[in-house]
Amino acid sequence: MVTALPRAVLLALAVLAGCGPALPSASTALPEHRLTSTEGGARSLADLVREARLTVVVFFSADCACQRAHDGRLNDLALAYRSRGVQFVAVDAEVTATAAQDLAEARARGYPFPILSDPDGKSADALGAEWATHAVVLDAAGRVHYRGGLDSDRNTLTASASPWLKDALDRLLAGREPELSETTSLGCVLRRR
Amino acid sequence: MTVLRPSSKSRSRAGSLIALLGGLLLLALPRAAHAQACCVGGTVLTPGRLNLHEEALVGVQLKATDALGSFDSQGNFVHPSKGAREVDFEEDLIGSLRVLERGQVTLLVPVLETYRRATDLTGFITDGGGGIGDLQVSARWDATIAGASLRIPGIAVLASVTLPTGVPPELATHRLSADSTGMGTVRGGLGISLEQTFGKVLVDLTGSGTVTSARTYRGVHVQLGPSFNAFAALGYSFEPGPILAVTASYTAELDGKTDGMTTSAHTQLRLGLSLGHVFNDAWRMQATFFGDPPAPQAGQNQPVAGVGLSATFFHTW
Repeated sequence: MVTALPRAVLLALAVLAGCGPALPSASTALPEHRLTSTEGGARSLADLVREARLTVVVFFSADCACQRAHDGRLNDLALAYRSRGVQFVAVDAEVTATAAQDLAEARARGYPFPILSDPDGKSADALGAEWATHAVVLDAAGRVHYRGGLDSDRNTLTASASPWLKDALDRLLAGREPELSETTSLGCVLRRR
Repeated sequence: MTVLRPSSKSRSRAGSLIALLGGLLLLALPRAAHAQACCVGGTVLTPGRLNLHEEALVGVQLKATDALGSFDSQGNFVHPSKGAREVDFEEDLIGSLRVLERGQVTLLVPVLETYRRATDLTGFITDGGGGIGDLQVSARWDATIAGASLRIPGIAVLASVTLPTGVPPELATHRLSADSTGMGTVRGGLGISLEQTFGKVLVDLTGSGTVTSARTYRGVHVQLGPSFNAFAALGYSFEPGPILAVTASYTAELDGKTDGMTTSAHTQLRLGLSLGHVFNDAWRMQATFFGDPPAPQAGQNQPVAGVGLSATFFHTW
């Protein structure tokens, strides 16, 4: 159960995080290199974001309890917003990422979106991702409108969690910027070289 | 004073206590758990250490130690004399707060109780006493995080100060000094911890040094020697399930001085088996069974060597 104190702490953290560097107003230089996709072939993030009104990039870790806990919510979000022009894509930017493992994980978790394997971690570098479940919302021009956690839950899901990513998507689809454009990601550390 | 061998009756009483604590721990385990492979260090190794994304915690640590003997100046394990007994209990209140993105401070307030039985010419003497011990403040700063890099382990700088808030031995009023709860000195320590995860396996190596302030009591000037501690741990994170770790700690205190005379060094080897369990994002616990192996050279000048169990429960934010 999340009490009022943790919620207040998390909100304070989210607000403090929002006081950090401003989100880029210009397009982010997304990696052009092609990443193996669990839906077949190879895609680059730069190409992918041009295909939808909004793209949610979620950094993935196969071993992370926070990731596993959020699989259901992530799937629900992806399906709910697909018809509204929002595409989801997961990126496995850990040094241990392999296409075969990511394919197995995507199937086991029932992801309705691809996982791109990026063992070099260039996409994590470009989008400033350090933690699993870190989500970045970009528009078709590659501008970042939100980055941070999926919500305020860590490994145990609660009904009282603050749905940071959902709130950001709702406001962006309504033509406004998110109230919280940066929040705290609460997943495991991404293993890099 | 002669330290005496515990009776079978009192030994079974302590055994029952440990069994009761263990039973309570087992009852407390839920069917499902949430281990996080990258973040097990704070859960299973160091009571009071904040894990990733935790901003604060409060906790209570309960500890019971049954003294099985001692080590003499030659490093020989010495069994207690017949009828002798010492059981130590400790309840620690622990609070930790993240003060920097990668920095945290911990306050530990120990409450100690000691029960001793010894013999003299008149027969058995029993003594019990306790109170607040020496307050400890520690800090940790993680330069790098375990698991974030294949090549660079988690590196943390540690610092601690122990304040003489307990009752030093010379101020104890009980016949067997069971009411002594502190050392009467300020101690300051610095250390470095290296930690790395390999999938579900955790390896931790920590080294630290401690210096102690001099003090004078009853006209005697005492300066304890600096001490050094090496700690190693190997853990495994079950998913879902608990985190288990085997630990080894070796402490060497160098020669000290008492009124200019050299006093002998102390050493201690302590082995442990720890279990960490995360109930949910707000509650976790840690239990450790520890013991000082009664092997030759496993200790030196140690007045108490024994086995014990500790259990710590935390609420985190």
